[in-house]
Amino acid sequence: MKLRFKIFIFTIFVLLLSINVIVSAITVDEIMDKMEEKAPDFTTQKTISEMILIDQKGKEEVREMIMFSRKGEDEKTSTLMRFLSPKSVKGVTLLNIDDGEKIYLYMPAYDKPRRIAGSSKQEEFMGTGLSYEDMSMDYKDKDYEKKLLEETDSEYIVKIMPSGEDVSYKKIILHIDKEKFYAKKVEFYNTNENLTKTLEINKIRIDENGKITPLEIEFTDIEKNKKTKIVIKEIEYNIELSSGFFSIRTLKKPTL
Amino acid sequence: MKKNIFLVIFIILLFSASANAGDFSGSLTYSGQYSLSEQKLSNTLNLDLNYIHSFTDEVFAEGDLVLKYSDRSFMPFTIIPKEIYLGAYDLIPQVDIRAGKLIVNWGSADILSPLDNFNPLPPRMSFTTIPQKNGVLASDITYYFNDITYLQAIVLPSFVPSYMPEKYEEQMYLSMFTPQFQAQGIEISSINITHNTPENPVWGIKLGRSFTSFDAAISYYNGYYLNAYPESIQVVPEPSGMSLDLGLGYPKKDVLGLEFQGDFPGIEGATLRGDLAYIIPQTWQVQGEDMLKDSYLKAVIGADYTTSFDLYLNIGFIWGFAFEEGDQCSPYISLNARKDFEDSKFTPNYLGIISLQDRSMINSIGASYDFTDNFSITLSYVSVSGDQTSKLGQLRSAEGLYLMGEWSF
Repeated sequence: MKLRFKIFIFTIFVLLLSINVIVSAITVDEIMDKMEEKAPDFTTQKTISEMILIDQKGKEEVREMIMFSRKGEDEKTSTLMRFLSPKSVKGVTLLNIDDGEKIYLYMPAYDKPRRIAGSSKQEEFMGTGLSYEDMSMDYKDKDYEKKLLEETDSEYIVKIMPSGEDVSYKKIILHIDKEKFYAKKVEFYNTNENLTKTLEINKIRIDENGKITPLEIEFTDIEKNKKTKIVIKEIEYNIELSSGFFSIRTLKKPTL
Repeated sequence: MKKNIFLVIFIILLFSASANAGDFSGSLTYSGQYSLSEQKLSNTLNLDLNYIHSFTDEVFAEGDLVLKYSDRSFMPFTIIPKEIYLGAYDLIPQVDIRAGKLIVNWGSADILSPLDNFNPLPPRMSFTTIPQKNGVLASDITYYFNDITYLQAIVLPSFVPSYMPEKYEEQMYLSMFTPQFQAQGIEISSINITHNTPENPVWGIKLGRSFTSFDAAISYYNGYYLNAYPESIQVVPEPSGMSLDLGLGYPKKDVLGLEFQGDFPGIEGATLRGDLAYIIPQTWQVQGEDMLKDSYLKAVIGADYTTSFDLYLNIGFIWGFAFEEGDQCSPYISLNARKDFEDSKFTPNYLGIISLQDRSMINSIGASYDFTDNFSITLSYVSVSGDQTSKLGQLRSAEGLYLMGEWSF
């Protein structure tokens, strides 16, 4: 989920045609291009992962989940995520279609899809510390401005300024590994410019083509002092999914 | 009866033969109610076993068996095959099929949807848990025109009414008719009830579509009322006294439905859900008096909203409660609230329903505590206000303290 979130953000930045501020031998667009090159090239993906919720006292809750995603021809991403454990949430499924244009929640106890209003996307999803918006990667890619703030020995620091009516963040800061070209850390600043959330990639896998897959992602909600860690256990790219997979039809299917 | 035995055996075989090959889960639930009106404690233990077996990517079977013990029921131990069916997804292109003993959920509302007419409900209404419907033999066929438009057809080979324990039913109708005959100087000492259950098929179709900011579906149901209506009443002299021969029937009904869910216009962060039913009943007379005659509306419209401090609110308007039909339908307002605390396993909740007609009211206040991911306990207190003849006051037997412990495995 976080993997897709990261890739999505990085991908949309590459597509931006906004201001390029050159403060270094490399431009911010070139950094984004290189990151895009390092990102796995796929249209569909399946992951099985553990979501570890860590509260203020450090107590952990582990939830296992399976997630499918597909990038459409219009570059919009659809995802379907289902909890596999613990038993109390088993079968709870979240479907988001086209970057969160439509979001559905399926709870086995009710046995019917519940549509989540677009304006509810910032609510927390199932106590995960992540909002429906975070889960859906609903960050519009129009008119985002980016700027290379700083270059250190080990990283590039890039500022992104989302714009539009429905943005949750005033700015997003990326800390990009200079050698491997992946974002080691992402900082999210709310509309009051306070740092509210961070995302860190703690572990990656580099394949024979130099493509980078994050294997351990840590999401910190600074306001609530909670952490959500996602550990990827299995990942497959370019799997075959039927054309109607990302629809309410799949939500009710007991086996995926 | 033979059919039920067959289903139970089939489910047991399914569970036992493939316990390692499929997806098995279950829950053990204890429910205790201390009735304030009867000053009596009743206990129920439910073991719910669910098994899903995939034969191929497209074909699977699901069985859901409930073993129930209750010390308040006239049948203390029951085995209920809630669901047992074969399902096929896309085996025929763009068609999903389920056939067997099914639970069908129509309507967008979480509870009291007037569009949800296929499955019988338990005799007692619960204000502390999600209603547990019973499965019926049925076929569910859905054709997907594309990702956003579908046509669903449900067919039951024969109608299945809601079940009411015999003794409970006798007591209910005795208390209903005894005063009427007493007024005529006739003392009723016993009651003999016969059910005239239609054996005709029941069916429904639904056309649904997902729009940009909301989903909507129109539906048509062709079936019967799930609860019985008096059809014939006759007083018969018997050696022990006067006996009431009561024939119960199930009026036919057609339901035209509209359901929707999506953005609440003008209220940021709220989701609107609604079910509207236009019901055309079979004319039904008892002792020359019309019980059902004209078409009428039932509706449940509500909005979900979660505040910035994690307080979940669901506010609803109900026209026609579960037990109201025809010109008895009246307006209610409901409020459901639940508060999630940061780093706490403690979740308080509240459900209130008020009749706008006579101000009678039901309030349920409670809290659940999650000891672990798989074990939780919920304690609730349900109170009923209004006199015995008021809309909600007649549900006085629901008043009491409820304790529920659930272990999922």
